[in-house]
Amino acid sequence: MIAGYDLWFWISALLGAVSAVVCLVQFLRGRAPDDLTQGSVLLLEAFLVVYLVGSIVMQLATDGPSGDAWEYYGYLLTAMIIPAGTFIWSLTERSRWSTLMLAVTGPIIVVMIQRMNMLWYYY
Amino acid sequence: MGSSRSEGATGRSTGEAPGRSQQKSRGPGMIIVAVYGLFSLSAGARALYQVLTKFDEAPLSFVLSAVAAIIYVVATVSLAMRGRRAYWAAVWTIGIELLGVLAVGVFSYLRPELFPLASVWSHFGSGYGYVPLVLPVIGLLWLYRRRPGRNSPR
Repeated sequence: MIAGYDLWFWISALLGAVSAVVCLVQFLRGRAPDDLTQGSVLLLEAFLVVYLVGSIVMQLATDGPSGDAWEYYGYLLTAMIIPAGTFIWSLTERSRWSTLMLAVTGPIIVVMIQRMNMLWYYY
Repeated sequence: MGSSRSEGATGRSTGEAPGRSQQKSRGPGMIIVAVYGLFSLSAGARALYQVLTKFDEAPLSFVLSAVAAIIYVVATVSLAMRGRRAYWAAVWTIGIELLGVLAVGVFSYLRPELFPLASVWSHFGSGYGYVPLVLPVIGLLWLYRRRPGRNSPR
């Protein structure tokens, strides 16, 4: 726990920030989505899959979230839809604006993991 | 900059086929559609959760959450679709959205006892970084710039 958040959150913060910066730079350079920017969003999705498995393991091993479990898993499933959706859309829309959309994905995931951290530990 | 991959910038300035340029979900407009899609998803998920698990605690807040979610979904679809009817459907839904966020915002300060638990539009959407307040304004400005009959949309 660092500053009240667990390692899951800090890993997501790192991945989300790197993805956002990479995609933003590529947007400013006028680039359509490429392996680098799309890969960074796929990495976020892969992280969320691991996070889901980790959550289920912790659910079985401990008492689960302090807050409402329905709300926790609702957040998690909603979060998992977002990188998948922006990635699929970025395959069909080949413009710099698509790269900007990918840039927004990371920060949204970080905010949602923050909410999930609050739900798990505090209320 | 200026490489052949910057399709978004070059495509619009050289003028594309009319059908493609009128599609509001292309170019910078896709960002607005994407943000509306995000709000449809998150407001919808939140409304579903609130209505299913704790409707009795704050029925007015949660009915408003559900109405907001429906408005976001209709706005997203009509923004993404082409044609004059979709355009006016988008203007109407986003106009209602703007009135909704203003009315709920004002009443959540004047009569807070009606809104014991947060909805998307409570306190002008402060729980969502005021994006719900800014979004309809940007949406309407965007629609105005892309209004039917205007020759060179930028």
